[in-house]
Parts: sequence; C-alpha cells; structure tokens
Amino acid sequence: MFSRLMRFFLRLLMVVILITLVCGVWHIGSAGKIYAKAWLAQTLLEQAWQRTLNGELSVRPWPWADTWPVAELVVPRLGVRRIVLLGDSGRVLAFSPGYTEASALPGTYGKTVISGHRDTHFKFLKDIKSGDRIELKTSKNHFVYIVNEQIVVDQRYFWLDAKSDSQPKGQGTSGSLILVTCYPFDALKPGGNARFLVVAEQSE
Amino acid sequence: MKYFMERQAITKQLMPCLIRNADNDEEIIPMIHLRSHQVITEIFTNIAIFILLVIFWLMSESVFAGEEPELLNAAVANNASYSSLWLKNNDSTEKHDATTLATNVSMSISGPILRAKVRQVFRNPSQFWSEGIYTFPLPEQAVVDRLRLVIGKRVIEGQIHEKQAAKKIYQQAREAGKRTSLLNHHRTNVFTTSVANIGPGEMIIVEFEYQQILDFKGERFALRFPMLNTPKFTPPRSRLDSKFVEPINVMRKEHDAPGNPVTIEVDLKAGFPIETLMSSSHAVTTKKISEEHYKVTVDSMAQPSNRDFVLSWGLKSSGKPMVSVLREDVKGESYGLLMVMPPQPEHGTKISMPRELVLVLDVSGSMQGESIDQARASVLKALSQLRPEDSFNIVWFNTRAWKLYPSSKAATQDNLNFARRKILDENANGGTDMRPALRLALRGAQDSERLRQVVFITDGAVSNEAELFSEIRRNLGRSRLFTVGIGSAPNGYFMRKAARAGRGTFTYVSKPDEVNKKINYLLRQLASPALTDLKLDLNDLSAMVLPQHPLPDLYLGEPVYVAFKASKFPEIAALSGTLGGVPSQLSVPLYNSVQHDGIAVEWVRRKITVLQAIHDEPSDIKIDGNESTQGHENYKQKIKNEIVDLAVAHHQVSKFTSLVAVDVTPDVEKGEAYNFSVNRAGGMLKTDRIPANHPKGWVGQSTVQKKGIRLAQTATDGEYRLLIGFELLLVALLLGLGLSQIQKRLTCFRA
Repeated sequence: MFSRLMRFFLRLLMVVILITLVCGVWHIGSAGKIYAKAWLAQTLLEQAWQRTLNGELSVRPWPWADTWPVAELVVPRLGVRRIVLLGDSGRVLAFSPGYTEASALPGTYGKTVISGHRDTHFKFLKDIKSGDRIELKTSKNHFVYIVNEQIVVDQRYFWLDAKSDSQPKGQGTSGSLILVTCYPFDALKPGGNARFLVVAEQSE
Repeated sequence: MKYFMERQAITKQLMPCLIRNADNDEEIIPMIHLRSHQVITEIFTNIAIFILLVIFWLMSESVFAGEEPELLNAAVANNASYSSLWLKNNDSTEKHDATTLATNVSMSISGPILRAKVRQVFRNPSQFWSEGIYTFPLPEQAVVDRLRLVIGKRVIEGQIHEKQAAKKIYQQAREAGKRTSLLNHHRTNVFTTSVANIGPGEMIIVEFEYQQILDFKGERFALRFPMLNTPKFTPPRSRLDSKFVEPINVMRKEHDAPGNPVTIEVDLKAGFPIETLMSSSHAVTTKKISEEHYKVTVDSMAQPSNRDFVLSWGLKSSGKPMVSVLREDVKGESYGLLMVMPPQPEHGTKISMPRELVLVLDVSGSMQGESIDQARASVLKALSQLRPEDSFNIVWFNTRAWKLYPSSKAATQDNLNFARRKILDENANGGTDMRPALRLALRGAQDSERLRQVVFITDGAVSNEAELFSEIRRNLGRSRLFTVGIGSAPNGYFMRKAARAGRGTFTYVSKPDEVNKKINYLLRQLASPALTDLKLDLNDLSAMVLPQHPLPDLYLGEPVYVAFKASKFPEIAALSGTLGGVPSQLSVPLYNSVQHDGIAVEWVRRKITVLQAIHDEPSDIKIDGNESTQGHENYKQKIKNEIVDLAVAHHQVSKFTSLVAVDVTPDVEKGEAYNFSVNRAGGMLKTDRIPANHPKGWVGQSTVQKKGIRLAQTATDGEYRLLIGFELLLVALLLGLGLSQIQKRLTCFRA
C-alpha cells in the first residue's frame, strides 16, 4: 500500500517537474521572441528606410506591417542609431521606437514625441545628458536637437499638450523633441505609471 | 527565514535517528518509514522554499511598483514647477499654487448690436513668477478689437500686429521680465489669452472687448455666450496633416469642483418694447428701467463656466414687415447694416410637393448623457410630422456611418414604427467623424420630384471643420442641410456655417424641455416654402455688399442681414427673390437710417470672414481654371496679406493678427521681489494652463483625443519573463534532483 502511494507521489512529482520545465522554457522563449523581434526587425527596417530615403513613401518593412519608417534618430555621443516607425502602439514599439501621430511633425512648432521601450531600443536614454546632440533625419530634412532636461512624470496625471501653440505648417519657429520611455529603467514588471522624458530643443 | 529555521530544527531532530538506524538493523521497517518520511519532508520543504522565493520575487516587484508614485511625486513637484512644457495636473496636491482665473463679462446691447467687455482676472497665489494661459470660446460672430492690461492702477492699451510679430513682441517682453499679455485667435471661435510675469501673489487683469450682431429667429433676439469648449475629436485620418489638427484644450478632471467662475451683466436697450425676456440656461434677475431698457444679472454671483449662457427676448409684433437700417460714417465712408424680415407667407401655407426627409443622428461618445436623449426626442418628433406621400431615411454615425434603409422609404406606419424602435436601440459611444455621415446623407438623392431635406443632429464636437465644409459644398446638389445643435456646448460656429453652406437653417437646443418648441419651429420651417435667389440692389456701383450674392435662402421667420459700404449712403434698396416659385420684390427705403456705432466694425468683420473662407478653401478646388499648386499658394498669400492689412487698419483680431500689450512702465518693486529675480528671467516662468470645465451633462471618457497625448506604454516584459523562466527551470532542476534522490534510495531499499 505504501509503495503504491509512493509511486503515485513520484508520478505526481514527475508531472510537476515537467510542467515547471515547460513553463520555464515557454517564458524564456517568449522573452527571446521579444528580443529577437526587436533585433531581427532592424534589418528589414533598415532596408525599408533606405527605400524611403530614395523617395518611396510609406514603405512597409514587411508586407503585413501596419507601420513604416518615418525618421532616423541618431545620438552621436552614445553611438546610437534607431529607425523611427509611425505610431506608438505596443505592436509598433516591439520593433522599433515610434512617433506619436498626434504630436507635432518634426520641424514644425510644437512637440514631437517619440516613444521606445526602456529595455530595448531606448535603453540608452539612461545615459543621456543635458547638452547631448540628438539628430532626427526625415526623408527630406535633417533636424538637430539639444537635450535640455530630463523629467520623470506620472502618466496618470500628465498629458502632453503637443499642439497648443501650433502654427500653420512652414512658419514654425523651433520645435522640441521628446523621447519617452518607462521609468525606472531596472524595474522588472512592465505597466508602471512612471515615464522618463528627455526634452530636447531644436537648435537653429 | 522562519522556514529555514524550522527546517534546520527538523534536520537536527532527525540526525540522531539516522545514525541510530544505520547502527541497528532490527529496526529496519521503522527505518524505511522514517527515511521516506524524511525525504518527503525534505522535498516538501524544498518546494516550499522555492515557492517562497518566487513569491518573494513577485512581491518585490509589486513593492517597487507601489513605491514609484511616491518617488515620482517628489520628482514631479520639483521639475514641473519650472517646466513650461507640461500640463499642470489637477491633483489636489498642487492646486493651491496654480494660477486661477475669474471672468467678469459686462455686455451692452443696442438694437441688434452687442458690445461686451470681458475682464479675465489672473491671480497667482504661488511664490513664483508665473505665466497664465487660458483658452476660451467666444460667440462665433464676435470680433475682438480691444485689449487692455490692467496692473493695479495702470492700464496698458494693446496694439494690433501680425500674428507672428505679436508673438515675438510677447516673447521678448516675457524674456525681459516685463508684464505682457497676448490675445490670439486660434481657430474658428476659439481664443487664447496669455499673461506673462504675474508676480508672486499678484493679480493681473486682461480686459478685452468684442462686438457681435445678435441672432434673430422666430420673432426673438437671442444672445448666446459660450462658456466652454466641448472636447473635440479629430479623426485619425486627418491627424498627420497638420492643417487639420487643432489645439487640444486642457480639461479639468471630472470629479474636481468646477472653477473659472464667471459673472455676467447685461445692459439691454432693444430699441423696441421688450416682451418675455428670459434665459433658458441660467437663473437671472431682470430690472426694468423702461419699456425698451432692461438690466439683467446672472444670479448667484459666480457661475462655474460649465454651460453656455442664453438670453432671449421678443418684440411686440406689429404685423408689418420689419426693416431696420443702421448707419455709421467713418473717414468719409458710409457703412450700413440692413435688417429685413421679408413678408411672410400666409400662416399655414405648406409646401405641396412631396418631401424626402433624411435625419442624421450623432451617436458618438460626446453625445452621451442628456444630449442623446434630446436628439432622440427631436428625431421622433420629426418622424411624427411626415405625411404618407413623403419618404424618409435615417443615418447614424460615430466614427463610421450607417443607414436605416439603403434608400429612402415611404412614411408608412410600419416603416415609421420600425424606425422608432431602431432609434431607441442606438447608444452613444466612439469618436465623431462627420464626413462619411454627410456623404451618406447628401448623396443618394434619386427622386428629383421631391424636396430633399437633410436634418443633421449633433453636438458639433469636431475639429476638422474645413474638411467638412468642402464636403458639404461638393455633395449638396439639390439637398438642403438643416443643422440642429444639441447639448450644453454645441460648436455653434461649425453648425451655423454648415447650415449656411447647405443652404438651410441652424437650430440650437440647450435643454430637454426646449426640444419640443425648437423642433416644432424647425419642422414648420421645413414644411413652409422658402425665399430663394435673394438679391439686394443698392443702385450704386461703388457699393460693396456683404455677404456677396447670392444671399442665403430665407426660411420662415428668419431675417436677412446685409452690411454694405459706399462712398455715398444710398437712398433706396431693392430686395428681390423667389417665394415658393413666385418671384417677388420689396423696396426698402434707406433715408430714415439711424446713426449707430459699430457698423463699420461689422462690415470689416464680414469682409475678413469672406476673405478667410477664400483663403481656407482646399487647394484641390481651383480658383482659376488651370492654376498650379504654386499659383494657389501665391494666391493664398495675397489673400492673407489683404486680411492682415484690413485687420491691422481696423484693429481687429483675426486668424492672422493678434493683440499684444506690454507694460513698459519701469518696474518699482519691493525688495522682496528681487529674491525671485531668477524666476523672473523669462524661461524660468512657471506656466499654468487654466483648465476648462466639463460640459454639463457630458459623460466623461478618458480617451486620448480628449485630454492631449497620453504617453505610450514603453516597456516589454522581456526581462520579467526571462527571470520567471529561469526561476522555473531552477525549480524543475531541484525537483528533478529530489526525485532522483528518492528513486536512488528506493532502489537501494529494494535491493
């Protein structure tokens, strides 16, 4: 009787081990997928961006993509170069930083907002300093911004008023660029309310 | 920790047992018992510890997450005070030091012209120098032509400048630490006042004046003073085109007590005996001075600005066609304003031709609450008035639009009952995209025998107006568009102009108990013949008449207002038109005109409105046959220059001109202020955007479009998953080790 109980217990243990193993592998796998996506997409994005620079419009990096590259972000001091996609939804940010469609267009008066994941593409933001040069290259223009301040805000209470002083296109005085990522950088769980914002002013 | 200690205690207890058992072979059975018992305990303890560890990991994260806001608030408080980039939160913790605003409005009405003086009192209760920015609506026909900055006893008169130049003057004064104020026309009927360098504990008053021609409808004059902006929705399609995107206003949180108190005084000289003076929106006190002169005050001194103020009064009907001519002579030029109420058809005259009625009902989120109920009541009312020979259809829309029937159906009882059920079924949610709805309603006319009337019921909360006007102009055809504004803050500018473009009328319903009266009136208009092809002839070639021909169609009880400018004031005017298919003519004597202020201002306003409409016309509509885009841009620039010249000459705020006032008086400050000189150096100013209240009856939804840009979700769960994954693998490994140990011991025992 005892040995039957024992055998049952052993089998149960085996099952528990198996489930734990599968769960572990699955979690690691999905983490891998996130990083792989972020990393692999770069090649396709790069190609799409080159085609955009050659004059094509709305080049989808892969046929079923619901976004396309709109700009290139360069921070020379940190040797960082990122391709910026259109939109800031989770689906977009998985591949590359995204431009918030409701914010001002680069080069116009107002605030241009670009968001990225703090643990992948925008990890470098924690090393950024006031006075750093950020270059934003669109298909036709090249804008230079200088980092002005870094702020932590709570997204529950703060909404960006990107266009309150918006002016007609083409008459803009200098605008500003805002890079958004989650804060703190080393928090494990996503979904916190803190955001780290890097505010850079366009230099003439 | 506790578990660790317990486990050690257990092991210690077991130790002597183990040794003894190994020495004594006789006690083998209890030994097995003991051994397996011990192993199982050990495994369980292991599992317990690892579960505990995992729980600890999870806990530690939630602990971090819980701590964030505390850290955050401190960081935010430090940064936000100096950053001019952020909206102030409406959190109670910061309320005490935000710049506040109170508004006093005093209006004086003389005949059909209203002149109002608005005093916005900016108060800075904080210890920093601050800048206050307030966005507010004005009546859609209002023109602002004076700005004064009042600091203590000093009054600084504002100057008119081209918009960019004005902004520059303001910014330079702001940087230099001078007190300054700027009044901007943002879009349509939305204005912004900015005041920079309000000292700690100081109060600065921005005073401006506007003029407006009052509405006359259904034998009553009506005054509407908008007190808030309905939060607007811009369809995603338009969002990337900067031409269409409009400023997003700061909204107060829904649960916050409304602020921005407003007091209103009206000095009413109607020019004729006043009858039934009343306000449908607020409780008012009226004081009679004479038959023609009343004073009105809005009760309970400070009204929070959460619904529009409406005041209306009627005239004792005289039974004759009403004509009034006002005149002003400025610098050798004569300006005139003519108001004619054309002779009305016999009461009860109905259109004999069958009608096709298309009812368009807004079911977007902004209609939620009182508005949708009013709208439903209006639609049901309209349906009940249909004759069997008429046909009807219903269109609903939010971000998309859909129809009741693919094409209009006869107004039989069965069809009407089906429609009524459907109307009650549709609930309000989603954004507002009027373009598909307008297209659906205006197109699809098939029966040329019928008079096609489209009734568009909405709260008008959109910001891509220019796009919609060109849509109406393109698709109107034989249809006539009648707009009905619903709720506490419909966008009157849009509704009026849409009706104008659609050659119909605009009706405003502010309260549920008004629905019946207002809709009945609209239905009477729909059923009565209209006066069309109106023309005014002044017998003077030098005269400039505004609006230009053709004048809008006239419906029952609507007067025609015409402004004109001539070098010599004409003696007589001839008004001609077609009433229900019959041409008719009216001769209006102009010699008994009354001298009145503000007529020139009104003429210039109309001129600027006309020019602005030409300027805003989308470039795909060619002005001259085969013009290139470049040509169009040049043309636009020319129109813009014309507007700027006219507006500057007449001191009027327009889309391209702003009023700016700078305090040039040398600043004699108390010693204390110098402590804050750092804050005073322009860039360090604390900027407060004064939040607007939520419209009454408006059910809030926290969507992106309504509150500015919400920051994106910017972290993946990559690291988290990696950690959990490795954790689980570790647990599996240890369990596996435990398992193999048991198996080893068991085999040992069996052997």
